[in-house]
Amino acid sequence: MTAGRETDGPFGLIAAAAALTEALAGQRELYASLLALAHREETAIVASDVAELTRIVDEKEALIEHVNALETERVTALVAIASVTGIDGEGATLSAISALLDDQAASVLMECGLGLRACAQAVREANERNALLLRGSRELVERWISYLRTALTGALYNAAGATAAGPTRRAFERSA
Amino acid sequence: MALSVGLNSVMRALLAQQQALDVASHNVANVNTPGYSRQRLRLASVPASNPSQPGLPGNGVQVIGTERIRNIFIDFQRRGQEQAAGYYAVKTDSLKLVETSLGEPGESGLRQAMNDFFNAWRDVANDPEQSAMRSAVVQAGTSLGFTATRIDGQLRSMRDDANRRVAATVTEINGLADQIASINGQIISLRGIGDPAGDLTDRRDHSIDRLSRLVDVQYTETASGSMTVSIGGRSLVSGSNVRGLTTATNAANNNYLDVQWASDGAALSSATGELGGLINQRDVDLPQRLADFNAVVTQLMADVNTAHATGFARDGVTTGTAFFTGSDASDIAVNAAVTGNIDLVGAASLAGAAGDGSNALGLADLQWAKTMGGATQSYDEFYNSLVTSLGVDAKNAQTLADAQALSVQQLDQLQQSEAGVNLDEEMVNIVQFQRAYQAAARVISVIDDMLDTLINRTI
Repeated sequence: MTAGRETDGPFGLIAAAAALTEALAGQRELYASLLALAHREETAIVASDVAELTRIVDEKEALIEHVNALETERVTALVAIASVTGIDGEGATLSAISALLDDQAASVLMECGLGLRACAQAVREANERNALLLRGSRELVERWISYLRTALTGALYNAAGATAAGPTRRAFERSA
Repeated sequence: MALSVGLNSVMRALLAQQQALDVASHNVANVNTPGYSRQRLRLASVPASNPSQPGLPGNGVQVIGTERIRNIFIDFQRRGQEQAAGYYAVKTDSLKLVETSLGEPGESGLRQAMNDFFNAWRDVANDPEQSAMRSAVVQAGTSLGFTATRIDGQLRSMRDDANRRVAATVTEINGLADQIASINGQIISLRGIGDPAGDLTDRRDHSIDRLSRLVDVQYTETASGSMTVSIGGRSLVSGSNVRGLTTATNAANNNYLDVQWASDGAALSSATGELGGLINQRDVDLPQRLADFNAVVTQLMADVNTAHATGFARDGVTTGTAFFTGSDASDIAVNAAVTGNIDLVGAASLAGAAGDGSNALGLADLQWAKTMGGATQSYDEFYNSLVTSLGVDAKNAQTLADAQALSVQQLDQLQQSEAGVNLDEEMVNIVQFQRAYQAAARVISVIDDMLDTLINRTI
């Protein structure tokens, strides 16, 4: 630990590191929830369960708001640490900060950070898989819509207004 | 999850969705195919590779087959209604033709011809010496004869036509049985290798639908997918085998055709469907109406001949001449001798009584004589009851035919609501898919950005 620096008190390194640890732990929990949602999302995509997929998207968006709030707390803690320790923003990695803490605090911080990264990597893997699934699904749906438009000749309402439509072959496009 | 497992899961899912869209595309392509039933893919999730580790996600989805969306109970009801609809449709058509032939009320019917005939006798009674009056009564008699033979011929022609349609219906039944047997064989083969054979099953259902309208059929599907079709408890189709029907001329029934089983000549038992309706019209309904019609004509002919034979011709000597010749409505005609010599019209009751028209008056009064229906009805009253009864029967048959047709239509719509393909609905559904996929992809992109920052810049 560097001598002469404020290590205690509401604006000290220990308090800032504790706030950082807490933010990381919170984010880890939220990413674990995102991972569970990603698994549900995969099931919903393969089952073509649109209602479930829509619910999952809503839940994800709520989680993202919480993640962003915790991200603000994490950045605030890093700024506090930087001001106490003099470490610049780019260098404020968990490894660098841990080196300034006692062993126990450093261990907790690193454990939180590594746990969060593992969780984040799992989310990214699931995300990539789902993105691939969605891309294929969207391409098929686009083809399908194109096919249906041909089948429903002249019976489509689009952004330009209603085209000539027969009484039993009406359809509409929601983007209109 | 290992990356390879994840990719396998993705691959399976994409294949499943591709097949789902292929099925949907097939549905749309058949939107106007009669009898087509919507199909859908049957999917099942693939369990996790290691069940001993709870909480792991599964391995995606797999296709376990396609299935037809069709309500067999509606089919059963519909086919029952179709049999009755076929029966009453045939009856209605036949009775309408009989009504048209009788032409009542109208100028071309038998009532008008009878009225004209008896009025002509009144004119003769008023002035028996006038050749014009004698000529008019001969003409009225000729017209009455033509009208009777025309109507009789038309009614007999309807029986002949019903007989021809019986033969055509038997041919169609055999054709449908062959189709069903052939499709049975194909379905058994395909289901044996796991193909549900949805399109073939639709085609077979379509054939059974048509068969149900023709004849009173019963059917059961076996575990192998084969459909056994029976008529009157005897098997018409069993697997790929057909025990067809045939026709045989029945000398005791006007040389009309009896419907029999080809294998042993046993009579077919079917009371409903178009075949039942045709046989009923040919052998029961039309013969009865023909007999009633003939009863009027034959009685009138006999009464007129009897009365006329007692009269004396213009020479005051000649008597005993029949006015009509023939045996019934099929060949009634004015006696050629009278037609050739109108002086033979027996207007007088007494020999040598020039100017006597009393026998002519007696002949005219036959119009009101109660000689029909057990001496309770005149010709006109009897014939009127025949026409009225025909009208009531035709109306009832039409009402029942309409009700049956409506019932079939309702069941069709009910089946269509389950099995039919609605393009609008497909479009709305698919657009919902598109929107949901777009939203999910957007959120995934947002999370990716967050992860990028977190993983690459934090630790």
